[in-house]
Amino acid sequence: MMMRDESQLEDYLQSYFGYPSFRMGQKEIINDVMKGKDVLGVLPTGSGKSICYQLPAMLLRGTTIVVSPLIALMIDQVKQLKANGFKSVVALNSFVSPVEKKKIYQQLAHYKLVYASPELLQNQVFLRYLDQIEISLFVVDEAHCISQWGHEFRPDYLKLSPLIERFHHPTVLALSATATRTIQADIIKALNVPHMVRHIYPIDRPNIAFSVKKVNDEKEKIDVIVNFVSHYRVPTLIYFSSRQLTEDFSFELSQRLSNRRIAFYHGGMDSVDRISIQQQFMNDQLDIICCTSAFGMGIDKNNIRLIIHYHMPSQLESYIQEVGRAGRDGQASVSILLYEKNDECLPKHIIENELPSEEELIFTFRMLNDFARRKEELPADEESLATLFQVSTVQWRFLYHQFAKHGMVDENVVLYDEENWQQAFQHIKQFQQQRLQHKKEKLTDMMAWIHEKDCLRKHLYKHFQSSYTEPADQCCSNCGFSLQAWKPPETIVHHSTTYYSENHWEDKLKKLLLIGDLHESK
Amino acid sequence: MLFLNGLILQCVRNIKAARSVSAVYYILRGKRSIQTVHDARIFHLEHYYGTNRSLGRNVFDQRVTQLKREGLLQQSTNDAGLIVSGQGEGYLRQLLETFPFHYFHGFHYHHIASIFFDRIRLLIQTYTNSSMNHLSFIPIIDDLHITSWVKSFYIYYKNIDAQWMLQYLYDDLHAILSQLKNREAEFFIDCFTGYKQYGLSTEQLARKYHVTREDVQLLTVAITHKVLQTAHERNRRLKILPHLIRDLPMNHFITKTAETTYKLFKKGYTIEQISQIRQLKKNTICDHFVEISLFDSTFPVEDYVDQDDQREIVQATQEAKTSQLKEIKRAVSEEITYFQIRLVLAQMDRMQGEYDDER
Repeated sequence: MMMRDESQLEDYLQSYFGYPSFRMGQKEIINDVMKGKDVLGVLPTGSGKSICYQLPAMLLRGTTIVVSPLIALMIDQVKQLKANGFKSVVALNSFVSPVEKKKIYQQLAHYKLVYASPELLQNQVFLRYLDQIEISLFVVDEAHCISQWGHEFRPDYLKLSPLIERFHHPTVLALSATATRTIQADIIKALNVPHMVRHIYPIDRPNIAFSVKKVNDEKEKIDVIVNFVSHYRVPTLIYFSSRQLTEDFSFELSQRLSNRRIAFYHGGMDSVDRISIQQQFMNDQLDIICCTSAFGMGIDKNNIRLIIHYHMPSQLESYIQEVGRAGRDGQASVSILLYEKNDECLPKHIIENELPSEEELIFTFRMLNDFARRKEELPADEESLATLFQVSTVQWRFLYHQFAKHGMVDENVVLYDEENWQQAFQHIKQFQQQRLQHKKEKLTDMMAWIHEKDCLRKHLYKHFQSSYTEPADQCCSNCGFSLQAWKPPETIVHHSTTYYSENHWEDKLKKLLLIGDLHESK
Repeated sequence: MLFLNGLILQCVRNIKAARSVSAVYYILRGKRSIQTVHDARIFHLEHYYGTNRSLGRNVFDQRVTQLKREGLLQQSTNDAGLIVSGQGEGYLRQLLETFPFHYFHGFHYHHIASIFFDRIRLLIQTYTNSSMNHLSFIPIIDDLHITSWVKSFYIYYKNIDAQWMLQYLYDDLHAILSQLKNREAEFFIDCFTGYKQYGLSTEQLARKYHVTREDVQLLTVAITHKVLQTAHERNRRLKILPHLIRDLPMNHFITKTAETTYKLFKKGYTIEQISQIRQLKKNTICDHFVEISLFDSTFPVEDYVDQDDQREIVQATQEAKTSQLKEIKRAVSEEITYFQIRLVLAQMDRMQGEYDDER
């Protein structure tokens, strides 16, 4: 590996990404990675974690593999890199057709950066192609997914350690934005890379003020929001936990605030609509987006000023991630969480349905037994398996991982052994209860924070780090927060960016296609 | 969902209870079955074929129930089918004046409309951004077939300056949109994304034009068909748009399996031989032959039904005033088969269709 002068890194950053300087932590991590050291990096959301491997990928010989569980994020990053002129990058996931995949596999060595879902990294065909190329850097993004105590446990992440060995131990970089000390230890242990250099940076955001507002009913939630957003025209996100509500609320809000440009966004929309809304917001063609947690991943808008939670998330990790989208430019920003009595019932319900119940467990064991007796193999397709076993795909993934772990299945073959199965049943049941308990504790932490009387900033970050930076502007609603004291720069609306502008279609077409006098402004 | 209501009423009106309401659903969805293609033909609903490709069965059923509840559709007295009520007729007349039903050309364009529309969308985004030297934009379309097509288009015409390309696009679109109502032209332009200005989403279009989301889809399809049709007809006077459709297959409404049979038929094989070669039932091959005869005007119907029998079937059809096969079969001589009746009906429809086109 070629060693490079450290100051040269800035030049590369400028020429590849157009940034004049590194953000906190980036340079330190990149330097170690370039020296071939294995690194665990914990950086706050929105701090540009991806630069930590994108830049080395361009400089290192061979190929960089990035494991990421977030397909949308993967696709967004590839688009962004391609838009910046970096073409030798590809995202491989379940959305890529088999024909297309094969084409990509055959020229795998030509790619500098390959994003892959953890599921695909279990595919033997793909692995055989990977064996033939030089892998110089192996990146585990969202590394907390490897820990059963992380907020998004992915069983497939546990199978990464043998892969690192199989690829003759390339440099390993594990990254996360939300890893407590326990989870950091879990990551290092599960990846089986003992000498990892830890680069842990504080995840608190001194420029965000936190406010929790308790209301009596839904109507009051709406009134509070209308009051807030009518005061300021700033880029605003309002988070909901239901898709339907994002639609209903954006409609209601538009009726009450005709001078604000409002839209909704959720994972159920078609792809063109999603890109349109996302980009209109990036482009300041929209003021407010009512969204589910699907919005925000991979969005690099640095002037989001206001984040409102209509519904609370089920854990502080998600909350930190979502509010972390505000004020990436360092300017004073505000986060407001609205809480109505019994709001926790919704996340509680979601948690309870995430894992299969005991009845469902009994049922799946019986079904599996039938397969064993008929000496029949399991169908390959995950969707149909889930339907067959009458569970959700998330539940099926959990179950299958458990079955495999307990030697009850091997690929598609069911292996019956009465004694083993009885033991396995007890283990799985126990594990499931532990998981449920853990999630409930997370929710309890969230609730405790909402009802906290002491400084909200202090208690939000206490699980992750021992201290925090003094707030740059206002601190939180417990330390005294006044909306009037907040003076954010407001969005200036050019007539041209309002989509309700009433031009004749001929003028619109001219404007769209840059015909006539518009050329002079180039 | 007014436009969709209109389409359903129009279809029911033409079918006159000769089929169950499912037939309407299949026509709107553009089901590639012989029965549906045949139905669209004989009830003169070709234009609406495949205009609602993403229409969900539950949405459709809800619409029908609602139309019945409002008394616009009613149960036919002698069959199981539905008919349009007097009130429904009046409502349909209103809708026909409001929405551009006549833009639809489903039979010709149902399979290529969305490809064509996506190509224009990405082409406009590409050339406007390229003209402003802004090459790092997020493409509005991420379908690989569309992006790679636009890429090769861009490379092929790299000698043409982006500003000129935009001028050509403007001339083409201006010429076509001038034939539309102002509101429709504006609607269509609002769909497009240019330089630092993203197009409106389905929901935003619905709010701006006071229609439902389903109607936004239908309006987009209708206008796209109109643009496609003009691009075909005036391909000499337009500069760019005809290039966007040159490689797209036309009239692709024959089922794949019938196409295989068609190839063997053209090599001179008989029904029995094709049935043996393809290991398919003779009846299936007969179905394919009916489908083939619907679009191939050189198909020799007389080889399968002699002149006298043809005359007898035509007469029975006219007297029975119905297209229901069972009725016709009952009215003709016993030795005439269903296959023969369907061939003659198909031929009648094709001739009717050609007559319509010439008008």
